[in-house]
Amino acid sequence: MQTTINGQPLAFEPRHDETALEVIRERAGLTGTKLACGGGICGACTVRVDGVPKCSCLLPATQLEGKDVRTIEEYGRSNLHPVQRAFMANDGLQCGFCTPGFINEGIAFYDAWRAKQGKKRPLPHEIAVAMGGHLCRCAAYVGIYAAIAQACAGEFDDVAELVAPRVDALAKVTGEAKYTVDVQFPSQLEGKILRSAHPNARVKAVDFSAAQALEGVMAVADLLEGKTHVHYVGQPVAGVAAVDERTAEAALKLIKVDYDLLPAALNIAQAMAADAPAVFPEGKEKMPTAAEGSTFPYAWENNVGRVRMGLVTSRRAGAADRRIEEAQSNAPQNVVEHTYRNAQQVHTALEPHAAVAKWNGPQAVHVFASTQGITPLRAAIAEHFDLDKAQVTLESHYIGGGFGGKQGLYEEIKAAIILARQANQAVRVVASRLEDLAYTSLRPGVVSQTAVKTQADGTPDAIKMHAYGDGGVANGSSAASMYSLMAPRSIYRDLQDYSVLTNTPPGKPFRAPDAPAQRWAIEQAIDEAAYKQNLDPVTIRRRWDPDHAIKNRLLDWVETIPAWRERGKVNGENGRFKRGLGLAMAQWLFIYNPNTEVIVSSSPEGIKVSCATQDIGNGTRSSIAQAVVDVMGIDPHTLMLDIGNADRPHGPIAGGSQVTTSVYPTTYAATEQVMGHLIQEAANKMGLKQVTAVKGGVNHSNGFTPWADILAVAAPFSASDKRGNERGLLGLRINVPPGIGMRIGHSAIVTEVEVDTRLGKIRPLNVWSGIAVGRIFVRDLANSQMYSGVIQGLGYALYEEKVYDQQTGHTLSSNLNDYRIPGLGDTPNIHLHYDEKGFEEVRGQGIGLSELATIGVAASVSNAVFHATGWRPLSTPITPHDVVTGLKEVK
Amino acid sequence: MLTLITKPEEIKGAVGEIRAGGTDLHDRYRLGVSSGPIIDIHKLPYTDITQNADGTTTIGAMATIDAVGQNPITAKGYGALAKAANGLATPQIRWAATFGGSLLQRTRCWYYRHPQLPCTKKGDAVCGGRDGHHPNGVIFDHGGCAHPHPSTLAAALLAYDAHVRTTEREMPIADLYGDGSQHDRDHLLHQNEILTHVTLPAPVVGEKTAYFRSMSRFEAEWPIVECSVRLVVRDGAIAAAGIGAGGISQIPMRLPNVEAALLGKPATQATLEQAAHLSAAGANPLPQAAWKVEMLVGTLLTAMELALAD
Ligand SMILES: Cc1cc2nc3c(=O)[nH]c(=O)nc-3n(C[C@H](O)[C@H](O)[C@H](O)COP(=O)(O)OP(=O)(O)OC[C@H]3O[C@@H](n4cnc5c(N)ncnc54)[C@H](O)[C@@H]3O)c2cc1C
Ligand code: SF4
Ligand code: FES
Ligand code: FES
Repeated sequence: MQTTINGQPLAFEPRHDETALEVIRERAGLTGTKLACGGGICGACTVRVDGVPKCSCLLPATQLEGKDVRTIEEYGRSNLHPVQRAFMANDGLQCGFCTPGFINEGIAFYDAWRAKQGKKRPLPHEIAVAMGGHLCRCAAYVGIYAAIAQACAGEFDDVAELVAPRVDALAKVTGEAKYTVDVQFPSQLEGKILRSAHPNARVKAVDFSAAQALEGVMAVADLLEGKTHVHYVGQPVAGVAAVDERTAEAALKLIKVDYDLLPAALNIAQAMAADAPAVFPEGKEKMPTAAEGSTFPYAWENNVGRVRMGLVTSRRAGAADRRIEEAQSNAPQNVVEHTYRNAQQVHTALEPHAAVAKWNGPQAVHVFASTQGITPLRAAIAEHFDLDKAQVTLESHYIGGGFGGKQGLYEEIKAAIILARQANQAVRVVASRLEDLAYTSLRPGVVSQTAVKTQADGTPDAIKMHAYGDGGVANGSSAASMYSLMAPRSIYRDLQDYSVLTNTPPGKPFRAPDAPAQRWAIEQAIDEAAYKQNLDPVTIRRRWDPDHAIKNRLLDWVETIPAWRERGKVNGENGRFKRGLGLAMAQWLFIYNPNTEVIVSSSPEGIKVSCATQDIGNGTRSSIAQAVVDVMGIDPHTLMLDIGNADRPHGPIAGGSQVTTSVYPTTYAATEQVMGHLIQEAANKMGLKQVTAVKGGVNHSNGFTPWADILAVAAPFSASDKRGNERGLLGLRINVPPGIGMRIGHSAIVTEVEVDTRLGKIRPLNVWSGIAVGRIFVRDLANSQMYSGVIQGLGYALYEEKVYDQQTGHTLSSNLNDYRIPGLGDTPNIHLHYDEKGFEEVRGQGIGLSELATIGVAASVSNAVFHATGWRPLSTPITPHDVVTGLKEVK
Repeated sequence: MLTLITKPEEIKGAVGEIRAGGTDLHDRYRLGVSSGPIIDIHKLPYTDITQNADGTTTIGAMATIDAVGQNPITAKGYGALAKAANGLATPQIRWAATFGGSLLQRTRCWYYRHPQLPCTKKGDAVCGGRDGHHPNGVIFDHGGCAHPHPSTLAAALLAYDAHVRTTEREMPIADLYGDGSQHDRDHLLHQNEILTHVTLPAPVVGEKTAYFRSMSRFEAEWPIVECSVRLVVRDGAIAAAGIGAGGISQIPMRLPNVEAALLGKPATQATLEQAAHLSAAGANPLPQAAWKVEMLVGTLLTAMELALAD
């Protein structure tokens, strides 16, 4: 058969089940086309076949015969299509993994639109319908809407200048960016993992012999690594490396595992039952954790671990409980108490968990991994495989999303390294979408007993939250404990966390671990308390923390929102569709990495910045570049941003919203030193007089000289700087990486929803997101994080739920049809507000915002649903099923 | 093994599963739920949509779903079908998937599509769905399989009294699916029988049509319940009605009792509401799916309202 890809002829004889995607990625070697869902839902694999966008993951290879196929590589960086320019300019991307698919569809839409409508601007609705076959987990939808509309309207037709707030956007819109899944060593093998099919079992014996005998199998390895038990469906047991994926999969089926099946606890109720089977019958020593950083001390009673922090997190707990109890009988109007629930949420990065490993001799391994923390990952690899850090080369240049789910030495990385050692060849292990959704990572579910007691004017008297977290076999619940760090000091409170172990896959931190669940309960309880006592939702929140300047300013801003001011009564609308507005406030810690070190160097080639950090779409490169730009006014696209390599100076992980606040001030200071050197060199080597730095170069007695000219003659130089610690209360310094500064960020979210009371659909119409984290370092990228925080929060509120089969422990929501993440058309109008005052003493004057941007969203949605309908959803996600059954209670 | 055929007779003796657009088949092959040789029929010539001399219309099984939605013949004459075609899946899928494949696709039950979960449709001894988690299960239950039939267009075609033609026979569309008693089938074609055409009766002038599905997000989601509606209004009264519903039973359904309740009644909201409520008659939902009975009533009502406003 013969086809043409980007004008190049390609002859091939397809296997019977070969797809167009395989022809493009494997035979033609064009890795810009991505595999994400494999099921026709996400559109990451979209290419144009005779001009028509098709999902190459489902397109039979036979249908390429005689066709003109166009991939993202069609246009190079010197020949960009207007749609590509528009995506760059509007920041219609974060991690970039979905971008090739969106752009291919966008180009086809642009062509069709122009042919029919000329330069008319398409409406958002028209764009959403046309792009309905694409998903972006980073939720860059606001930029995507703008990009398509502006491109169609002709705004990028004859633009020569490259505009891109995100410095690595060009690599992403051209398909040049190489992700871990795209790495290809010569004669690289494909690795696959045999996973436990049982939720709780003792492994008696594993027989590899038949698998080893299969032709094309190069390694079969034990992945239990001394463990004698498996505790969840999907736990790795063994691995196979073979010449291709199909052979590896066939070999997995030949491995015989002899299990001794044990009873399992598959949910919180089963795990807490009096006669519950032990999730870890052999002991809890190897229990993983879902916590960010270190874990709490626990007191265990079978599967239930009580966090032993009560004395620290609570304040007069007994008195708080008494106040609540007494009010239940004396003044029920002053107390609200419910059981609130949150389903497990799956990170669902579009690039799945993946790694490629190759050993260069017995003591040196080269690893590519899709990770959000190369510095700690290298240390973990070294420790696990008994190597020195210097013997581990770890690279991660482009990462297709993480959201917390790609931290640490996860199973796919371990498997790749083990298999590569055994095969003595490079091995790639990529989780399938099913594996990724089912086994790799999730945000723990939470059930909390939460109560709030106030005085008649809304002043809080007592609060209680007993939270039970289900992170599967992983411990680490902090919903209640976290609140103690953020609650007003004076309130009596009984805050207690419990980790409930279940025989399901382990939880991991997810964009503000447990905070959305904590807010879901407390912000709803406060809201309900307000309505019960005829108080305004803003007023009661002012009572909560009356002298807090930042919170009060955010609430002042809320009161300026016209829709908020003009909102009507609860359940005040008749008819099928009801609108309502809800408010929620949120807080989040200031986390930064004091050990961050950045080296900035100058040479005739330009300015280079080195740090062992990574960019998962959060914009690390852009934050670093912005610091250099702010010092020197140099074109950010000329910078050499040397990240994604673990042997550079210590860098922050992409987690805890710590990147920008760790790298920006550090890069800034190092760049100042480099600039000082360049100014001296301008005088020494070029003989310039009265040299002063200005934007883009220096002024001197004879005029202006750009940095490039000075760099060309200046002696190479480098300077480094360390982030260091913040000064905390009483001058205390906290130095636990990630160090938690003594400051807290605040936000207020107002959401307007429309509830279809007939069919249970909740449509978010408007979201106002106001945030106070001090200075905003890179405005466009901060906007992108704020938007995506809102949209991911809506996913948590309305759609996302990891569902298990309660008989087998298998995950049912194992494809992107059944695990529902927000799409373009689900995006509301999002209005942003930054309050930048109040963080002047922090180095750089600002703290992180990415997690804070998502925390309050779900609670605000629920409060809006209550305002619209008079019915209060107590569980996430709020599905049509919940709405239609819930509304019956109101009637 | 791959057998690529260009004429229908070449399928004799060929072994494997038929592949047309591949959008359903490759999902299953990637998951490892299906495997084995493939008979590729994408080169068969049945792509045309033609109006016949007697006014009827024939749609080739190899026409794309997009073509069914956009072709002037279907878009003008068979609104409920065209709107259903435009309202399902995603643009890329509609450009790639065939009309025939959309009628013959396999179920979307999450037990069926999971390589390690048991399902009698995959040849296992037990059905995971019926005893397991099935809030989207059937509400008109015929026993056996617990998951509704996936085809949006099959339900629309029922409302048109369409006939299908295969390499072996011709039959009413309803016979392609049977009465629900053949539990492990998604359609009743024989091995190596190829669906070639679907024929629709002559269009009804002035017919008002709609297609509507309930779901949680804006787009690209499998429906909770979906309805295709044809209404003919004469002198303010409903003179003819055709209603197909999906997502509710192991087979696509036509709702004759609702149609009967509409006939001769004034074309008013009250009529639609009364008729919509009748759709629940005879429902015997699986317990977890009982909430969908109300969703059927609401979805149908919405679709009928849209049709009246058409
Ligand atoms: C994201 C997504 C969303 C979707 N949403 C919907 C939806 O809302 N509603 C809906 O109805 N569908 C939906 N679909 C399913 C889609 O309609 C089907 O995948 C598609 O119609 C199948 O057509 P195909 O030509 O690709 O079939 P193939 O995948 O090639 O074949 C499907 C089956 O039909 C058989 N077959 C195909 N053609 C013939 C023939 N002519 N004769 C005999 N046997 C044949 C094949 O053997 C195979 O078993 C969705 C699909 C995706 C990926
Ligand atoms: S409900 Fe149907 S498709 Fe699902 S497992 Fe049972 S038989 Fe299989
Ligand atoms: S649609 Fe092909 S990978 Fe998602
Ligand atoms: S940018 Fe879309 S998935 Fe990351």
